[in-house]
Amino acid sequence: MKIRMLRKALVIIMFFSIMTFTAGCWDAEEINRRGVADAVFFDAGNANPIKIGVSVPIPGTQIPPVQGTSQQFEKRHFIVLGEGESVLEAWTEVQSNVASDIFFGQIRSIVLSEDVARGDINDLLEFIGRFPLIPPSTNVLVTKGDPEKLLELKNEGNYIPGNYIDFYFQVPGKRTLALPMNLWRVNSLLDKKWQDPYLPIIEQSQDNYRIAGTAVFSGSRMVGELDMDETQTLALIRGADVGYLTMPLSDGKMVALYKIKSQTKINPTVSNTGIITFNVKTKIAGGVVESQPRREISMDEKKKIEKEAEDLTKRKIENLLVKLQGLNSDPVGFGGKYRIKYPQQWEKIDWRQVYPTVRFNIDTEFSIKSTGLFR
Amino acid sequence: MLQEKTGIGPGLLFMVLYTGLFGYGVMQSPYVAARYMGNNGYWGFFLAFILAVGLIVLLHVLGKKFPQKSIIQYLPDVCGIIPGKILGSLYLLFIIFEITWTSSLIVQQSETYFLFRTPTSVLMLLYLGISAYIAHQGIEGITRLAAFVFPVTFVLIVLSVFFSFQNFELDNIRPIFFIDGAKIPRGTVQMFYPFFALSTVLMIHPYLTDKQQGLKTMLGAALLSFVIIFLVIISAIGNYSAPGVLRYGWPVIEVTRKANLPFLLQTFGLFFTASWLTLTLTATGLFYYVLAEGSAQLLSVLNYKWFTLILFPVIYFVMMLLFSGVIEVHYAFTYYRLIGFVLTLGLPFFVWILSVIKNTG
Amino acid sequence: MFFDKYLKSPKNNTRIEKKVSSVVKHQEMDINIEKTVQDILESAGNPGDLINHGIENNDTLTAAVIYLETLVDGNLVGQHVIEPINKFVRENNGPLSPGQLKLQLSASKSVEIDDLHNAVEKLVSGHALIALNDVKRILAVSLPGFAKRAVEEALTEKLIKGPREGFNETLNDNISMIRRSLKDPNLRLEKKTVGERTKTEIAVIYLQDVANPAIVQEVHKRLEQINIDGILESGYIAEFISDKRLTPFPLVQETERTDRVIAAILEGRVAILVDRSAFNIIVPATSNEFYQVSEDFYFNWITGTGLRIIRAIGTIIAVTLPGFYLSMVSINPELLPPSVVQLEAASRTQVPFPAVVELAITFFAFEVLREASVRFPTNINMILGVGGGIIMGLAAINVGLVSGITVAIVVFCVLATFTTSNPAKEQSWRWIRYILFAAGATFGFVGVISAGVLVLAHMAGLKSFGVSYLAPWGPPIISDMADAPVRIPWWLSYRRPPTYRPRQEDRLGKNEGEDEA
Repeated sequence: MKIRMLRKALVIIMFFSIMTFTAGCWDAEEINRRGVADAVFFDAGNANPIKIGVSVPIPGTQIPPVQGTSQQFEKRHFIVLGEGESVLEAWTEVQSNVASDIFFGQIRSIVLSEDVARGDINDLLEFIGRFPLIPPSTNVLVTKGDPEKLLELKNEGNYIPGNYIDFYFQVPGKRTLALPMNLWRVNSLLDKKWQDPYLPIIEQSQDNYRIAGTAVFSGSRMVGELDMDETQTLALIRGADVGYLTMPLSDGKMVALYKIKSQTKINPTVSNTGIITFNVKTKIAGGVVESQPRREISMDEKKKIEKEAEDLTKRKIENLLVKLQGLNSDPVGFGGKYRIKYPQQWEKIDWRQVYPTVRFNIDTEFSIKSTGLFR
Repeated sequence: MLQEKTGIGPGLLFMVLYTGLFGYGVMQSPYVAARYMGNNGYWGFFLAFILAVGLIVLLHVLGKKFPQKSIIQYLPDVCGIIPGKILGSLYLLFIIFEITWTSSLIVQQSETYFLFRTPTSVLMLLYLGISAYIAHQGIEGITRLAAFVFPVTFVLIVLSVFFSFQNFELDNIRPIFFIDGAKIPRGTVQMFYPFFALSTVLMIHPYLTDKQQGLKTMLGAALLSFVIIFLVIISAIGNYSAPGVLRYGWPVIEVTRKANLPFLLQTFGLFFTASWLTLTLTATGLFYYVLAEGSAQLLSVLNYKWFTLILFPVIYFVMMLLFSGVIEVHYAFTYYRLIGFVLTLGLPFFVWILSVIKNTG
Repeated sequence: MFFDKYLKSPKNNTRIEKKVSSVVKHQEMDINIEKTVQDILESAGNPGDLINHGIENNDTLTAAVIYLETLVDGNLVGQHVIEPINKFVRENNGPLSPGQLKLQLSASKSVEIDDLHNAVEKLVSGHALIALNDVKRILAVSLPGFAKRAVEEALTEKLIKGPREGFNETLNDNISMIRRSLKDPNLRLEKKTVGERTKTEIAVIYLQDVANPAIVQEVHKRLEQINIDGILESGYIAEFISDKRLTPFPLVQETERTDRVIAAILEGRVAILVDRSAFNIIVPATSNEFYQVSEDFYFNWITGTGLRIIRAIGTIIAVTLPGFYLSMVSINPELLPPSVVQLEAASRTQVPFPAVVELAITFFAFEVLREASVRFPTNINMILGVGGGIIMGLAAINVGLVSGITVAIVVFCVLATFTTSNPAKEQSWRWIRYILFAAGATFGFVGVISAGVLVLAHMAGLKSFGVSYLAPWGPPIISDMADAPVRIPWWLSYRRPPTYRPRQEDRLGKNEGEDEA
């Protein structure tokens, strides 16, 4: 009986000690008191190496107010800036400029300015990536202009910037204009030694954002950029499922195709002298969306267009690959293909040295699948 | 009132073993696979499973030799009283190490992802307190709890793993059949750690009501958890590639956090974490019970309910002392794997050889 | 720990000796009828409703009929007792012997008593006592006539489709309703009396070739150990016979409907009917039973399945939603989709209280309203309900004391708990919800999950008469698991659920052996 009472007493003591320890709510913070950051940008500061800016939505403006009042058209976010020697210093200054605690759990895009991107992006992404709550699917973009002005402006939909960028990339048709890139993929590409990252470019145009083009990287430094056309070609090589292609034909006519789907097979071969050649076979299918002059696409017409399309795409791909080789950037992943086929040799070489010397052998195949509502 | 039941049927054994194997095995598995074996690290796990099959057969044979006794009870018979007790305490020490290490890992993970301002000591108290309560329900309560949570958590975990294959790139896990020296056999030793949970069978085997079915049930549980952990490893390496996996502290949470249903569900991380946390709490309860029961049998005094209370401060202080920071936890991981491999395979094998030689049981 | 004490059998195993009443002694009757009548009247305390009808023959008292007019039907006494005695005395003009008396009476249920204590007991239990001159024994005749409620619809468990007979407070009526449905000679009915002063009658009913004999034995054993002065309602008995654990969950099932009791008896469970109580007990009970309603079986199986799924999901949401909402809003907002977070943050800007306090206040207000509304007088029930609930809620939201989302969640959760089709279980879920709420407030998401596992572990350790509370999920009994979330059609389910370990597996009589899950 006494032993039982002792055990009961022990249990009650343990229970109450647990309760006293847990008397505080260390992590509780009201959701409207947190500064839920929407987008963050990194730039080279005026006086200091690093400048960080955070876009924070104003909570009261997020729900639609009574229709017709002027509140509907007010800007819904504000930018907080901070500069410093290191990222952490800049970050601390940002925190000192706001009443609420900046919370990264819902961030939707990270914008890097070109200056910073031409440096080492590994450091910046390391800082952001260690925050445990950051969503892995955050979009990462590069901008050539001033990111502060970019994020400050009120875009035409009156969305907060992070939402806008997210919505942009959710639309299927836009994914080949600027290849979207998530934070986790950038990290993964930076770790892999056989492929290089590439980030979409955002800039200001017509009082709005324009997201088109790609910034290509070599390792963790930005080395060049591709315009919209080249981006679409890159999308073709990587395997796109929706795209556009405008083709001037040899006899002065023109045809434009959309819904481009492509599949690529890449096969490396090594010759006896140790020269690596990549055989790139691309199969592209598309639908006609515009043809000048307006005519029926008959069987002969189709074959003619297909032949011309193959030549055109082959030329485009060749030009693009030459350009990429010149920049020593490998967003397509040729190194990976080489690694799979020749794993032992891969260990011995330094891909960064070898890549400018490889050859490419390109073969394309084109077929027209649909012509829209007209014949 | 009616007596407390201790009989475990085959279904219950399956559930409780699956809980232990999956809950403790899944978390760092892609990291270990990628680190020691590279891009085709999943083969190491496959070979580890073959080893585990051997272990299960060994456990079954041992269980048949000593039908009514747990390992603490028949070790003195086989080896003599003093060596038997020493080996028994070694076994229990390993279980303490297992509980403290995995609990610290889980608490660190909860703290990093969800509650980073809460002091670690408080989270450890919460976690251990609940495991102690689960252990207090006895083997009856633990097995029924495991059977109850099994369907829902299984479905959620399978869905999360299935959807984590969204950005899977086949190139990342190729070359598939590339053999690079002794990397894979060495990696097998490292990847054996999910199967340490089978060592609890040594203690709970006497409770099985249908010992003939025991072999099939244990194989089934090991196979199911093997399949899912295998898929997790392939998914993680396929998404991030092996060097990419090495960057993360908790790659499995990352890969399920990334999985989503476009427009429908933002992230599967919530479901996976909830299911996994439930499974690990139950598994820790099982280990705690095994420890308490073993201590009661070793010292031949009181019963396991008392030891649940007595061991609580012991385990808590070991956790706070040794594993209060995440880097210590990662550092101890290597020793955990190696020591565990030796003990989990070695102890039953040693006991079996001795009992065959001495012809006891 | 706490529970060890209750897991072992209680210390006093012996039968409880019935206390001897200090007022009425055990003594023999007097042979003189007037003395006997005097003794009886004195022992009973000369109650105001006692009728003492003496039958005289030539100025000597030959027989006396004593009864309480509130318990015995005066007409029946007059017809079946007094008139035959009068006739006999008139015709025979001599004393009555007990043998002759019995031949005269038209009433069937009669008992001979020769002890004063027993006689008074029978008097207050509703018998008419017939005392004869020169005879030491008394005849007690049962002719009940008291006010009772007619058989009405069960108020707490209403159905759309199904029999509308519910139990009333009279034991014999309830037993007759059961017997009319189960015309099986294997039906066993055993009566007991519990309660020192109330002497409530209990009937234990089961099917002898289906119910597990171990469970029946355990029921008898526990009923005999009840030691209390009065049983007012079956809830008292339910508490006494439940396995003793500190738990908010009901371990026996109490119901007011006849069809549920009959279905349970057919499954091999034991029903305990309690006199003076409209709720009757069914043992053993598992958690699953509280979610099954007879209506599932009266509609087709698709409807049944759908209703069960709604019930299960409704209960889970009702219990976990406040905890999850609180953890998402205060501690872990990264788990919500971004649009929800923006909406939440926007709607909470003006609220002065932190989310924990706000939710707690709203819950408390709702609980107060709920408790008070049970006692509203019916004619102003609607007005107070509308005024109190809706107008107060709207006013609070408009002023900005609480946000709309909070009120919506609280109302939804409280209402959704009622999908649990058993009132006792619904009460227990109420308190569990607050535990999860507190855990969510302190530790967020991890806290809710941990508290949930704690509750599940508690349920996993519960047992009701030897059957695990979480069966058929607990020990996974495959054939019964199919019937738990869904209602499988009759052509698939010819087996009795093995959870209660019946002796006859197949409902149509074929024995297939016992299951050991």
